[in-house]
Amino acid sequence: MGEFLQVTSQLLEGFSTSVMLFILTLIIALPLGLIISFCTISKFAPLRIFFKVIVWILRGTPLMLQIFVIFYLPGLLNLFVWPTMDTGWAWFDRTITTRFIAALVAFSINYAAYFSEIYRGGIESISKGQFEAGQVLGMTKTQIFFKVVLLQVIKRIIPPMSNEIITLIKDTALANFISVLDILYWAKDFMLDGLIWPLFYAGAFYLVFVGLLTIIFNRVEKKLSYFRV
Amino acid sequence: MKKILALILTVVLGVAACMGLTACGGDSDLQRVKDNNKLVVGVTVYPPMDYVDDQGEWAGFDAELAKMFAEELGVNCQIVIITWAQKVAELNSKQIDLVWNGMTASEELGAQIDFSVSYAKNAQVAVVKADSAITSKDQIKTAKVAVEAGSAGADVAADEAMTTVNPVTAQVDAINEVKAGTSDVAIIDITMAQSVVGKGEYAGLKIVEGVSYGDEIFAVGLRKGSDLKAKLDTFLKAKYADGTITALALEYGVGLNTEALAG
Repeated sequence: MGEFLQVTSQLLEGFSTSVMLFILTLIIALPLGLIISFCTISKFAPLRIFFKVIVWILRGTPLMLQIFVIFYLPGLLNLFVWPTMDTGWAWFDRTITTRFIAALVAFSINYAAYFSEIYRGGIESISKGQFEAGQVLGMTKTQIFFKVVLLQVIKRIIPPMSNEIITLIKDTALANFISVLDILYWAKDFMLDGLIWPLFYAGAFYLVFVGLLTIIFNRVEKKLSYFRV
Repeated sequence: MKKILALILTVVLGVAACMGLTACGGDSDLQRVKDNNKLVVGVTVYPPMDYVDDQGEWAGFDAELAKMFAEELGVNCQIVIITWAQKVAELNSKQIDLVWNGMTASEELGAQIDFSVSYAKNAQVAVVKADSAITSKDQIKTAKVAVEAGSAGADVAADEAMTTVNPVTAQVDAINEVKAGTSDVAIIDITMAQSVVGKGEYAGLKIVEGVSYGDEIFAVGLRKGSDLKAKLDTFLKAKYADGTITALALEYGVGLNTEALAG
């Protein structure tokens, strides 16, 4: 029983790192993806092409490789070293390490690229007539986007978004590669002591978390269903 | 809209360019460590060298020495867990300043990073009865050999193609086999052999002189050309000279590389 409690508390601590990475990535990547999607549908060709290439690179190379490049390359090229936090708040300093910050940057950029394509699909799915109607009513482009288009886009992109967001919580395990001490790191650590079950136990943490996310997304979808045309 | 986007793009590119320009200057590791006020030491959980004790503090032979070294430099010691396969990238990208984790100073690794003076060593030695006639590797090959299953000693037995091998569950069982006469030779770690053979219960045993397998030396890893090396070497030798390292070695059961430390 003591062993079970010890494993549980260690895995919980690891999972708090995973969830922190998940939440912070979403906070950064959701708006960043929208900005990128504006760039990739821009009529200004250099901007559009530049960001299309960026999205191509981010979606076209393994995330693990991107994490490696973002964490090690600046130091290897003598540019800069990722900062550390010394707030003195033990849990925070233990969780938000140099490694965590580098992983957060990598995840945010990578997921912003995927999100941007989902946003783009959503925006382009809105019929041109609505933009034209807005213009006839004398609305500015910005007004049309935020008052007419955005809510419809949000409703349409929720299923693909929830898919991507569920993938994200499992992808956080890749941060392990640069020794971010997430739940899978500790599960593997117990394997050194000859315990295999913590690995399956760790799987249950993800399952429960994804279960909660699924319920939340279903609720949100239902809430937005009044929009059905 | 277009103007805003152009502005965003300019800012993004500008920031990227600035990051490129703000190089963290100077090649002096010593200066870097002092500026940051911390020595970052990369480890893996590897008892008895580095492990977390019941109080949640880093302990172990290497961890304690690393803390002392940081103290001597007058900076904080930050011990971080790294992925062992990436230790060279960790050093070269300046994520860590030292690898201090019972690291075998191999020739291949030496091409990538610098080593401190070697402070410990590990090797497999042969333990026999004090009156045994066995004196050479050839004789051991055909003798009855006891090894701990899955240990470096077991690897030696396989590599040397020893004919009669008894795998037992612990190194101490291997010595007991010799003591009881059920095996002629036990192949075990030099660290363990030196601490038990010829004393107390095992007074009737000896280590076969001049026979050892798979000599490995442990050293601290540094970036190539690091100016921390001179400080570290002086530190290790001084701590050996004043007996600190010997006391730690006894506490944690580590085999010291006494020739290198005294040199």
